[in-house]
Amino acid sequence: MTHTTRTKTTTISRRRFLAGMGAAGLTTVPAVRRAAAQEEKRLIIYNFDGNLGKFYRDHWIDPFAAANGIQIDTITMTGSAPPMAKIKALVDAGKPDADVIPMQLSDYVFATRNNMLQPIAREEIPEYANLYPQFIYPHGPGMVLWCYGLAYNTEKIKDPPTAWRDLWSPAYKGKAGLNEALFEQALQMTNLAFKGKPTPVDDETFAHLKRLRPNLVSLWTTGAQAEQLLRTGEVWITPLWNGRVFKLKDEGVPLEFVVPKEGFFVRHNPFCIPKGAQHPGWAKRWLNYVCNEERQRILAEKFYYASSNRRVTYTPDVAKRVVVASPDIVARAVREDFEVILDNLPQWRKGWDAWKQS
Amino acid sequence: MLGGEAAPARARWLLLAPTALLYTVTFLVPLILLLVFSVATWDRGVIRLGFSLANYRDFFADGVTAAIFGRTVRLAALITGVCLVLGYPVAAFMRHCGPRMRLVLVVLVVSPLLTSVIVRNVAWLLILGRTGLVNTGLQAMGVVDAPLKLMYNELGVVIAVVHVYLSFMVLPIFGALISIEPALEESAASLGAKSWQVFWNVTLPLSMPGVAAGCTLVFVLSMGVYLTPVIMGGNFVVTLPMVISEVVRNQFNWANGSALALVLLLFVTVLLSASARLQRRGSES
Repeated sequence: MTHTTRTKTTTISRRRFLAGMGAAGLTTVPAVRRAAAQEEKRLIIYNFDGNLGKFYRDHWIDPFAAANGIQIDTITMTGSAPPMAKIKALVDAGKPDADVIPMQLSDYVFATRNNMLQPIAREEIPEYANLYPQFIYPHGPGMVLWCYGLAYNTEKIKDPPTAWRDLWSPAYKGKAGLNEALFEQALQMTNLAFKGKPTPVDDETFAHLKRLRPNLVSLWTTGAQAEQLLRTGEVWITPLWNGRVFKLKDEGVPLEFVVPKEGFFVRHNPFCIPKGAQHPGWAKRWLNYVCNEERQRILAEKFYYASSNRRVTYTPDVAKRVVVASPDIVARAVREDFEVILDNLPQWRKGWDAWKQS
Repeated sequence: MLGGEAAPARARWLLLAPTALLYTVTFLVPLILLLVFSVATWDRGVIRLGFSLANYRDFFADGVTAAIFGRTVRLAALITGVCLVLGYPVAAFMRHCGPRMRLVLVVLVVSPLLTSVIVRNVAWLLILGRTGLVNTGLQAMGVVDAPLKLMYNELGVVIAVVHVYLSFMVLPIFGALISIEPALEESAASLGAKSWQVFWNVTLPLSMPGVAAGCTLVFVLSMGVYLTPVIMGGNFVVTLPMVISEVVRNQFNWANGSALALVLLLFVTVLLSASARLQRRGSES
């Protein structure tokens, strides 16, 4: 027996189409809430170690858990980078171990290229309306803006440095440090100092680095290591993050932070939800919560990391310490292309290792 | 009776089953995965499974990785040599001292293993740093005018690694020395051999199995040092494990990392086989 399918066609006016889209958008937010309500009242977040992790627990995690009556578990990262290899394996198996992952920007590029993250529609996070547009990613908000400049010991160095190129001064022979973990930033810094732009990284870059070698005491790997080198006076001058410098300064270490005149770097962490996360609804509600002005302002006041929320205002002292206190200052930061960085990492790394052995 | 002999044999195999399962899951399967990844390719952060020897070719051809491997072997040989020179006298002293002193020495030699590698290395910073105990003392005594560079270089790495791996040299040598019949040495002495001749012709040859075991153990362990060169070497002393870590964690290039890990594993395996063969020949002769 043959079935005949009759197809009914309907013409939809532009007005009805737009009204439908608007209604669909408006229903998304309650849908997120309903989804959260249907999910188990639980959330699992990758958290930083050390003081930053404690801050997140005290100000971003526990208050949200208490206000919503949900259980939030954290997985502590070693350092500030999540274990992307493990996360990829779990996402590929359909069972990621967390619902929210704060990432480095190169981790984010890797995760998107490997299709590991859930897209988040703008309507699902109402606070996006208050964020600077450049910090809204398809997979989550970028937060915790940290500035990379020069830290120097004010007791040992009487003539303050003003530029990246000052690191090469013979006055700092055997007194300088450099970041091994962010070696790609050191390469770009070298280019800024001598070429005026961060890329390309080539033989000339390494030739300049070779001249820096006599000044270097250590290539530190973690912020804690940099702190220890500065505290003990092993290192008098090193590129470092603004938050670390001012924290040490508050503890009595004679340090100052300089924004080099060739340009400074600003990086941040995209907070994303992996595919297959068990509690995406709660994850989005939490992301919305931590994006808000109050949560962001507390972070800036305690850690001097600037906010991506344009509604956050800073006292003059805090503004000086967060450095990127306004959109025009953010706009002056050196633009880093993380797609280019990830593509070139193997080649840059080999050059870096060859330089270290030369 | 075949049935009677087969039953105990089956039982023996069954007893091995849990260990075999554990090794299959924790060793064999990861090894196979390493092999599979080592012939894959890295394409802008995405691993593409297939068959390519590019990672192995690059090891020899890129001019950097093979040099780092050579440096790792040299560092391991240096650490082994220093451990042997320092460890043999300690083992010999332990052989001849009383049980109480022997116990004290064992505890002293093994104690670095009881603390974490980070704590150990941070302690060395306080001792060897520019304003550490050694430099402060030497400057106070007028021996030196300026601080010596005792760390953030190969010297610092060797000191810190020897400190922890000395026990892996001392204990095997001690085990070999303690098994030497004293009568052999007494006989040699009674036949007119001087003490150094007794040592050279009797004690040392008979202690070689322990020396070989200790050297093999220390060398293999030293090939895998990672955190100590990072902290004590200031990241200027680059070892192959550091390269593997960087390639896997920061470049997400598990293909290259797998190939490097397999090269290291193959080298250590060949070394262990050669050492075992030499020891067998030594015991046969």
